[in-house]
Amino acid sequence: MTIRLLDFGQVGSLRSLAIFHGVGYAMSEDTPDTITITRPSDPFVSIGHHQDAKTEVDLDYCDQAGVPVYRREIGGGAVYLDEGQTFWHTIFHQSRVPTRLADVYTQFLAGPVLALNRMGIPAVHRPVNDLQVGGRKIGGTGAATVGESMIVAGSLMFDFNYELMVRVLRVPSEKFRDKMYSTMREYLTTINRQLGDDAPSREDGVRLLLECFSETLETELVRDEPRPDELAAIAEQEERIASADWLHLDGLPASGDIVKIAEGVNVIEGVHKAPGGLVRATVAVRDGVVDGLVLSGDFFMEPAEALGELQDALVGVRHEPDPVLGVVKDRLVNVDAPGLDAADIVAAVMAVPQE
Amino acid sequence: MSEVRGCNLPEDLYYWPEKHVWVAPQDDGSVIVGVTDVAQSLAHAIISALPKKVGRAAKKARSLGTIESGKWVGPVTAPVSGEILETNPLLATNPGIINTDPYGEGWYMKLMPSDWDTDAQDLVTGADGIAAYQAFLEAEGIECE
Repeated sequence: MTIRLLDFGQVGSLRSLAIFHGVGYAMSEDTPDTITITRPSDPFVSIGHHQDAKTEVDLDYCDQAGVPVYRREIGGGAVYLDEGQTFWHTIFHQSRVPTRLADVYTQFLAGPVLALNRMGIPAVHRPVNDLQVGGRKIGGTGAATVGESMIVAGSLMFDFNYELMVRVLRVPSEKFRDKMYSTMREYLTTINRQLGDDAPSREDGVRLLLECFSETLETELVRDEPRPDELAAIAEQEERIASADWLHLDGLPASGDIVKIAEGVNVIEGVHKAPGGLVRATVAVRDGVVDGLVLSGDFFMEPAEALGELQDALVGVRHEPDPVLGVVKDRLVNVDAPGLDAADIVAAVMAVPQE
Repeated sequence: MSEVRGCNLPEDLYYWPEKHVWVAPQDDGSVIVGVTDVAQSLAHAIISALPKKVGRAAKKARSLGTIESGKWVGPVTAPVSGEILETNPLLATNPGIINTDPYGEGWYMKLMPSDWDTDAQDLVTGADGIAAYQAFLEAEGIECE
């Protein structure tokens, strides 16, 4: 059985989202398995299926900057996207994909990994669903059951606008934004960053991707046009995705102050009110270990260098209460910090919710 | 509680094996619906759940709402048609309860079926039901982790 290829080329951002939703919803058991390719012509913010738009995104900024915000039916976090990325979606009938999610990703990420390898990027699939090169993420992926289809989504990330990515998000503090930016620059890379002048053109990159999909799925890809019912479904999805009701779904739980950067890499903000003042901790955590940390607030600590030393000492420590407490206690010996004890700092570093 | 391929499947519930949902009929004619141990195991750690609103109509085989794990989003499929009476308030703050207690505190919603007798014919229950679910799991090669 062949796989149908629907290459929509460059389309508006709304349509780039509506296409895979529409093709997914229009799928029946008789529909051939399909891969779609789209590239947005304008920037937009895509939020995860269960994210609260006003909590996650600076909607005022996006409105002023003319950047639309759309909810997708795929999970994960909010992301700023633009023509620096080319999106691919495998849209297969759910009866024709593996039952186990890990196997689904293994099947569909093999093509993108091979394509990156052939470009000269030693990317690997880090289970469950990250594509990484040298420990850095190169493009996000996700999966969703949409109607009768199982969709796996990903992108060829030629470029990524780190500045606008951190600007469009609603963050608890500017320190958090700075930490997120530096962590993202460190753990998120792009094809152009990896290859510089040797990076392929968009067209060549897509051509390579499709060849690699064909090779890894051991099936010919047959270029085709969408059916009328699929075009109608795409139009319907455009209307839904653009609607305020869909963007502002109610009943969504508010998430904490945590932003996932890559698999196993998060930036967390914890705030704790101690008798001696407010303690704010912005922590980058990698695979459960503190990778970077900024402590701020209106507390007092003397000698002046104690704070910096405490921050440095916490890097490399497991992000768990006991190991953090051990280091903080050790560092607070001979430090004058009125109204502030080790437990207060631990509460901020661990982002323990406070009544 | 019977265990099949590592999955807990209580015999007193009704199941739609292909959709991995369970149904518990109540004395007042309503039913409680949730996802099975199989579903939670396949999904892995559930981080969000969004049932449709109380008062909305449920249509058999359509979505009752969604669940999200770290790697996947998908619907909870309605095993019966009817009206949504109640949704589990715990899911908003602790969606992981679906992983730890799928048949208890991790229930998804309560429905008033519009035609239980007809819809129940497509569900399986009791020892025969478990056997049917087991056959499906074996055919699909599914085991709970």
